Amino acid sequence: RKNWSKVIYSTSISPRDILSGTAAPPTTPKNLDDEEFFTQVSTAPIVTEGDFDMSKEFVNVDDLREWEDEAMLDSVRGLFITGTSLEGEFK
Amino acid sequence: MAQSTAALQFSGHLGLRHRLVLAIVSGKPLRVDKIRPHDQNPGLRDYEVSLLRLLERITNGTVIEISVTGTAVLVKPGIIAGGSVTHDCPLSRSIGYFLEPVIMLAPFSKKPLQLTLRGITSDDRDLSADLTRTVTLPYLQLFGVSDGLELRIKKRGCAPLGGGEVQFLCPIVKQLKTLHFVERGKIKRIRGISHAVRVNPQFSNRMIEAARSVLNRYIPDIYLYSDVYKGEDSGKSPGYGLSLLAETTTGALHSAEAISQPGVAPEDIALQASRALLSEVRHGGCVDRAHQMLVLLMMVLGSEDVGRCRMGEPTERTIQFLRDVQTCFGTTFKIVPADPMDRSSTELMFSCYGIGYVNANRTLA
Repeated sequence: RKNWSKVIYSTSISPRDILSGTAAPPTTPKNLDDEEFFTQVSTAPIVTEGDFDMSKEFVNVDDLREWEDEAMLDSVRGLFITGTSLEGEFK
Repeated sequence: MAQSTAALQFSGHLGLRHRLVLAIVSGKPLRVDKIRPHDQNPGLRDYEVSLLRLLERITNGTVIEISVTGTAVLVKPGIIAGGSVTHDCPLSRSIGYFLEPVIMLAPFSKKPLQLTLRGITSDDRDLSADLTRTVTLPYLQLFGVSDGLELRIKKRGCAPLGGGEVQFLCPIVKQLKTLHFVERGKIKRIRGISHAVRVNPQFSNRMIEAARSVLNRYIPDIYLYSDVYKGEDSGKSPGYGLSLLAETTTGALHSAEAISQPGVAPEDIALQASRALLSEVRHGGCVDRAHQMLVLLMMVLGSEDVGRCRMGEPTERTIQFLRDVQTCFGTTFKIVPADPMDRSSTELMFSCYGIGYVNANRTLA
């Protein structure tokens, strides 16, 4: 796990490198430890839009395609008030 | 402020807005150099110059010097005056670009600020006027800036020609409240504003329907409002967009939006906004990514007590902002995992000791 205080205050690693470093650990749920399961080790190059000083994060439409998957949609159900009772059913 | 007046020195054009805010709040001179030195068109852009001008007008006594090539700028801040100001924003950026730093400064004015901005009200780079109204202002209320805080969208204006107008009213405060926002809660409702100007008004309803196809599965309390502006009030260019926000039981807000693009159907824009909202929700924390900076700044400026806030992982801008805060105020945040026992959780707990910033401009009045 990353020591955020240390990387932010005690190093001069650029913000982008700090974040792309965090993308390296598998972002998949822990219980999927099958060896065949592919884990993403690097993401597509960040589109910088000419390094604009933007308030909003650049939204990559392809990244949003993951939400076409029903299982993915159900994975955040626990974050809603209606999710508590349903969460038990899925487990 | 009676602090040391050693100048703040930064390089590059990124983060100019928050650096200007830090300089003006702290009263320290700011020097930024190497602004796009290797660009085909070096130096400050028109919108950056416009922002400097806007800040010059809401303050009193600010001196701004721009080098001949435009690649360096020196700002000697004056006091934040507030009052009634009208500003025409260039069409290269939306009014969200200009509102963001102004919102950070306005509570510390000498007189309440009444700012009228004209230009583009929503684009894909900065927060739209809708989200600024429905999300940014509630975040400010957490710190005790509330009575009379308002953003009125008088006219909408889409890119490229704009023609929109918003009015931002901000009260002044003596000191900010310390924030303790550690419980994220569960999402209890989703709200949204769908707008369509100078196109078929049905576009707005089509977006609402498509967004519901994704979000209805989670909770029944979804209200998506179709905001119709007609005639003069609809600006000069056609466009449409959907902004969404999810509110939790503890009052945490997560927001996302999508704006019309050429050749993309309204349904796809709505799906994009809905999915972006789910991504934002999954990111976690009590504060969404676009507002991390605002909340952290207000925590730093808060009363001399420890403020705490649960957030998702910081964004690039937030990381740079945290470093710049340290340079300016010497304040560092303690950043620890919010749930140390749960190793799959990426949520973090940000805490810091407020500097006890007092609005000296107000007491002088």
